[in-house]
Amino acid sequence: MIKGHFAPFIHSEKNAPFIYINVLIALIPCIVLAVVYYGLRALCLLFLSQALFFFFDYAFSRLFRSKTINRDYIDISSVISGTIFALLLPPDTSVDVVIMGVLFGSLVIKQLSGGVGTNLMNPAIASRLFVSIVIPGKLSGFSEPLDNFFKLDTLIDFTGRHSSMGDTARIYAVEVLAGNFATFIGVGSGIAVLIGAFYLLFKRIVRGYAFFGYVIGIILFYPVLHITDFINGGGFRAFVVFFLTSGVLFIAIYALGDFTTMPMNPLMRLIASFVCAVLTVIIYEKVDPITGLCAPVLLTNIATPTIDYYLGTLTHKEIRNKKAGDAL
Amino acid sequence: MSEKKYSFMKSILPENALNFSRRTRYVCESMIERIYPSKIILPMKQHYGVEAIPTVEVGDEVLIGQCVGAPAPGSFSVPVHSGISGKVTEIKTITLPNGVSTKAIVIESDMKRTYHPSLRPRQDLNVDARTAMGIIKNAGIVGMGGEGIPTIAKLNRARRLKVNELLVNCLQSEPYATCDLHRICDTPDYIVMGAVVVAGIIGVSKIRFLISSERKLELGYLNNSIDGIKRDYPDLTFEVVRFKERFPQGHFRLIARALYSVELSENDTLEESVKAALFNCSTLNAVWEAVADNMPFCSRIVSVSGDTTDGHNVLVPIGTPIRDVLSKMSPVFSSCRIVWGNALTGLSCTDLDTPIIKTTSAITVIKMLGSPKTPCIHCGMCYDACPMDITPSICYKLIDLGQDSKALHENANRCIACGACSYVCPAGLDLTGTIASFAAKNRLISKTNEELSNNNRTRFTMDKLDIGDASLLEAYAEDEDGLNSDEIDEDTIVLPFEGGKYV
Repeated sequence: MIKGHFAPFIHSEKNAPFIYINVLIALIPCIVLAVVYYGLRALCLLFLSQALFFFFDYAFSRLFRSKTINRDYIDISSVISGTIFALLLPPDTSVDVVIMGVLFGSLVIKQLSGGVGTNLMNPAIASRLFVSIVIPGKLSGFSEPLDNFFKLDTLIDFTGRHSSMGDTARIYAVEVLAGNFATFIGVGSGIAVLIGAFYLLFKRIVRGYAFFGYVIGIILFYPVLHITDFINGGGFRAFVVFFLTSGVLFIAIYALGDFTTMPMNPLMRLIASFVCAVLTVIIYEKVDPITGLCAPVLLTNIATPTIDYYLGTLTHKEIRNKKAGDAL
Repeated sequence: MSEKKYSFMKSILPENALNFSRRTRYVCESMIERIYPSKIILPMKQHYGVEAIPTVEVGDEVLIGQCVGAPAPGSFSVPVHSGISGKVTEIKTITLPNGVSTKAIVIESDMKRTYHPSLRPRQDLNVDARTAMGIIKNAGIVGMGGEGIPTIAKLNRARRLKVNELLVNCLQSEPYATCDLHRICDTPDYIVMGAVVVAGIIGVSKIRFLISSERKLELGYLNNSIDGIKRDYPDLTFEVVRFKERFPQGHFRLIARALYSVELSENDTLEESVKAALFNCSTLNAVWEAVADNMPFCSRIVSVSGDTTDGHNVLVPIGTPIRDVLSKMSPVFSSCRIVWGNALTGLSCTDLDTPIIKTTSAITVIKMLGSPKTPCIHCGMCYDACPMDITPSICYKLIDLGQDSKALHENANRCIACGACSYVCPAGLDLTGTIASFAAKNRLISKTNEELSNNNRTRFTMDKLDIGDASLLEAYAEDEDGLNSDEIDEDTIVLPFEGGKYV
């Protein structure tokens, strides 16, 4: 019998908290712009969403999985989910929407499927699409940026505000880059998202397969679907505006960069993201923007176990089913 | 045009998580530090195979290079020689950190460093293959890069399978371990000449030195040495093959993948599959020391390094306790872990009397691991890092659930225990420990090693074999007739590295 401990005795610096903290750091440019543009209500939405996601995940895991989890472990991924969810909300969103979305994302999507590392779908994206479907009337408050920093009344306006998103066809290039138009609070600025993306890629926190697969898919397929615009002129501008302001870059790095819900195989991550991009381009202009962004991601998430299975890697779900089968 | 760099790496995007060349603080000292311990503990089994039989008794005086353990019959047992002169004070059974329980001879040094009279440079270096094989066997040389397979066994296999080329493994890529790299800088001529000897024994004309392209210092030494020696051997072709730096490129299966684009299964060998024989550079150094200097394998370079000590390479007699090796280093704190081997594949040990054996390349002193344990986050980093293309996180769960057949289906038995998956796992799961233990149970090599230890034919009950005070290098020629005997009795077993030969 071998004495002592097994190797290895050193570890890469990239443990789970390190990865999550770096993702939060990458989100800082989006968070800063959200607060600058939409003031204290954006900050409140962000803080509330993060706190609730963290609280529900923590409480649920303590209540129902206290024997299987490490009690010292603090799941920072909950804070990331809360941040992504909040950044995808319109600025004039009330707190009841946040509570409903977080409850669905944390309890239904994440905890009921086994908790951290075993969720089938991205909790933030699923909860965002959920509130968009269930209470669409409360998610149409797109006030202009920089209008009133201290405005907080929208947080408790449970009837819902109605103002449309900014018309990106009429804004200047610098506004496109800065995200200075009425849109979701944290995804409008392609530059802010790209700063975060390059930070994560440079630090090798994410490998980039999903990001590049999605971006390449958008770049290749958008012109194909809008070929007449490109022939008639104006197509290129429309493409650049779509690329930088629609939120596809945000989805590419923060939704498809999620380890848990994307295929494990790097090549399949690339292909799945490419297919996700094609779906996004196809449906984006036929449905509301959030459905156009989130639904393809969730479809990709749902397909992930099957992709992993047919690549010879059984999924967590498969293993759990086998365990349940063995128990029976 | 830049020269081609080989690699087993499968990633599309670059990844340097397993490039330890920058993590390994390596200073090539102009003169290597030697350690003269006050006592050595010489285990009779330090290699893959059958343990040797003590040839000395308590109270006997021994000299440097004297044989104190005679090999059991067959090519899978090698002699053991003393690396110090002194008196045998104890013969006891010890258990090494790798679980091997074996007799060990304790020798107290007389601090005179008296060499055995036979240890003097050989006058006539024109030795034939059989003589050279006899020298190598009697020198007790085993592979210094891995599991410690007796070099004579590998030579026999290479000769029988008629390989076409000799590969010299200079690909040391483990964190903190630089003993092979130091050997290349220290005695490159010995390595090249050792390769010439081995090439002559196995009958090949092509020698390829495999080295990382980032090891420019070692590349320079090696190229200079080859340039100086190749003129004397016009029938041999020498080639330096550059590899990308990535752990664990030096494993023979990954060399096969990188160099020949061949995937070896768990029981395949390089000799059979690609007609090439692979030897570690330090092993070849020991070969030339035995042939030219008549020096048996009784000392080796060991890297003493880690994240809490300075990087040192020291020349120590085999059997030196870790305590003596560490005594020359900066203070080792009680909060540190001492690893017998390198930090990724070694074994932790708390007993400072644990000896350096023939396969110990490093003693690593590192801080206690404090990585937070979290649930698996399905990140796929273990899959990216695994050189054997298995999915460690899935295998880990299957083994944990007791689904061994499914784990085998996921190729868990291909695990080479390199530690890469556990090193990169953000969740801090003990992937390597779980999968490597499972794989070891299911691998032929482990089963065979166990059989070798338990077989009636190889389990010797005698306490001492009387051979006088020989160094064994006097008896040169290897008995090939005996190796080819067709007589098989009930106690014989088949060795995988002998290609089905009975012993």
